[in-house]
Amino acid sequence: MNQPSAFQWSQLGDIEIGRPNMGTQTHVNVYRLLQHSLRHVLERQYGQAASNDLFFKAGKISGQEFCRHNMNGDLPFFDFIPHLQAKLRDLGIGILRIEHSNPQNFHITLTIEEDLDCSGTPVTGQTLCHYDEGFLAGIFECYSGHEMEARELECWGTGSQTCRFEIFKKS
Amino acid sequence: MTDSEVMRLLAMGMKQMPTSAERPPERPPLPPDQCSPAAREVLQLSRELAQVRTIAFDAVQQMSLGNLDFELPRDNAFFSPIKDLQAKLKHLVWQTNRLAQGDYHQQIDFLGDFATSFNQLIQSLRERRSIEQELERSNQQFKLIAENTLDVIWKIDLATMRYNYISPSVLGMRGYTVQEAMSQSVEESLTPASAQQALTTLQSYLSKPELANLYVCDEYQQPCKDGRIIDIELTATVVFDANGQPIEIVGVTRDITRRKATETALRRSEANLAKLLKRQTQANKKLNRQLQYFYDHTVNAIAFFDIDAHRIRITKCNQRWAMALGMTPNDVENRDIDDLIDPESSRMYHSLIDRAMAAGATIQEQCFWRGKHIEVVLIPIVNEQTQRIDQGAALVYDVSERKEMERQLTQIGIRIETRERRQLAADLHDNVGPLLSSMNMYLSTLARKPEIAPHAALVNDVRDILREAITSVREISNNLSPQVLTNYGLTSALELFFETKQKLICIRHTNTLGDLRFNELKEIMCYNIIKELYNNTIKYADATAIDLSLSQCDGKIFIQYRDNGKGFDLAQKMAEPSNNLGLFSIINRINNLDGTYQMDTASGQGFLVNIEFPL
Ligand SMILES: [Zn+2]
Repeated sequence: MNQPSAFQWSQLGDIEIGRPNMGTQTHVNVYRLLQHSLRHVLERQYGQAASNDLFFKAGKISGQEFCRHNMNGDLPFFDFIPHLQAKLRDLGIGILRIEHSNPQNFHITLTIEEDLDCSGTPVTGQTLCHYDEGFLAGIFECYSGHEMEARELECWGTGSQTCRFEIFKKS
Repeated sequence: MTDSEVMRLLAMGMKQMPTSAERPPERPPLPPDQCSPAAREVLQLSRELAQVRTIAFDAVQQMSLGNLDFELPRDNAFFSPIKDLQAKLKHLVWQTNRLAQGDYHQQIDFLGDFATSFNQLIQSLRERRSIEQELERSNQQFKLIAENTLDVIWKIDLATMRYNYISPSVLGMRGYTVQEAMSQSVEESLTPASAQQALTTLQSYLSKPELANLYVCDEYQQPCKDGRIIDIELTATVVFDANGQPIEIVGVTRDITRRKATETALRRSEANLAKLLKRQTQANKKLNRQLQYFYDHTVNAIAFFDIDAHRIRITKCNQRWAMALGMTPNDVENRDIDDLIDPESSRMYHSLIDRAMAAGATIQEQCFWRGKHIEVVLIPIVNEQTQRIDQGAALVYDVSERKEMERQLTQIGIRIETRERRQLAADLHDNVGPLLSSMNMYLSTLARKPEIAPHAALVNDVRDILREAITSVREISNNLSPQVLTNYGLTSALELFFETKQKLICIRHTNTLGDLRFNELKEIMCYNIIKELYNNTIKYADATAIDLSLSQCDGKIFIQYRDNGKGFDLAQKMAEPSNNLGLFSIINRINNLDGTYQMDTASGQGFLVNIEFPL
């Protein structure tokens, strides 16, 4: 059986050529519609745990690629953070704030307010942002060169208005 | 228990809730079994409400105590503002930590007025730090300058007129330690003249308050510990206090002894240079005048030209040059040489210039041009910027007269030589010959006498020697001036000459001249040329055969001479001033015949020469 080919940034296409009138922006609902319908199908097919894992993996790929193509990975840690903050804000992903950081072992606790994936969703007692977990892990993996793990501690789904993530090196 | 009793119980439990800081009871009363389901539910809810209140109260209390590390239930949106505050405070703590680390890039975008104040605080911290850094930098610069400069920095207290600071560099400049220098009075630290000058300057400075904070810079002299006097440049200013009263002088002194010496030397050498230049210009002018005179009056034709690819453009030429072309310098200058002279002459110039450029050196050659013998000196001129030859100069001498003189001289020489040879030959032939013959006759008579018979052998030996002598005299006489040549011409003379040589080498002699006679001198020269060629072949060539042919056509005599010997390197032999081949004597004779020749030989290739000359 043929191995599916690896993800490539170029697969995103040239949006400026492709959407001369529509532009690069879309409604958040469209994004969420895609994510939630996909989550629905995946949970039905594979169960909730497997679905969460798939979202995490996809997020990680996109985080790595995002960092590689959109960010300057040569910056020192405390310059990289504001750089990341600005990127996430400019692209409408969310407002990043750091609560704890240790640049030696890349142990970071951060919050994302107005998160693109979950902000405004009803409380279910469950964290929702598995894709975000992967995305953040991917970014720091690309930046640090270590394999990274990310856990969402608080989420709109758990009754918090900011999502809190813990990011750390995978042991 | 009735519902109303339950309600009373509930009311009691909830009474403190909105206002009390006290924790509600750990175990609120359980709903009694006998109450209605509605009352039971209300009781249960009130119990949960109490718990939520407690958790929220505790969380806020924790935060007010500065503890942000607590967790709130994950299934209750009621806590979300508290969680939000907790998250923001946590981030604020992190930001403050970063601030403490010196990272002044933090900005707060939440918590309203607090954010504004916080951001202002950071801004002022940022400014203060940059001022501190600036101060630190300038302090370090001052320290660096004061400690490392060779200049001496000092202060004088105006009240006491004594130094109150002198930098350590005074040791290097004047040989005094700081302590020694400080113990000197201001007057002592300067030469008397300089002290006077300094005092005057200071007084005039102090009398003009508008000069405050202006620096004055002057040159003074200072004594050193070892007695030397050094030249210094002194820069100083007076410092005034808040009331406008002068309090001290701050200054820097720099040792400029060396600079002064250099300046003096420079001035002196500048003056010398100016003098030299003046002299040079005069010499140049004189030389230019002399060159111009030479250029105008010399018998040489002189031309300068530009060389661009293969075009030659005359840029300047003298009268002589233009005259040779029947023009004036104005006609010739700035014109292409190809447009000025006939193709053959222009070919000659191109060839000369090409060779001079290839050699990169001056070449000198003799040419035959328009019936004249000329000698051309061609000087390639290298452009100093491009290092390429793009100009040239040509000097042309007319050597026709010289050539003619040389020719006449040679002819006279030959004539004299020929006459003397003939005289000598005649003397040998007419006087010595007959004498020897008579001797021979007497000896034969003598030999027939009987009294001589015992000595017959001796007489015979003498007769043999005598016969040899007679033959030799005849041969010498013939060589000196071949009788046959004079009497019967070149063909007969050559035949006779080669007759005796056939036993030495194979000679093929083709001659269509027959009985042709021409100028006697020319006949002799021609005969001698062939004899000389023959001698060379025999002496050096190791040849086994000689081919000689003579013919005439259109008033010209053609001679071809060839041997099959070992040949030689013609160019090399011609370059040897003392070549043994007698080549020069041959060439000289050909020139005297007004003839031309072509030689062809190489090592191992035999020797061939074609000669032609007019009758
Ligand atoms: Zn979330």
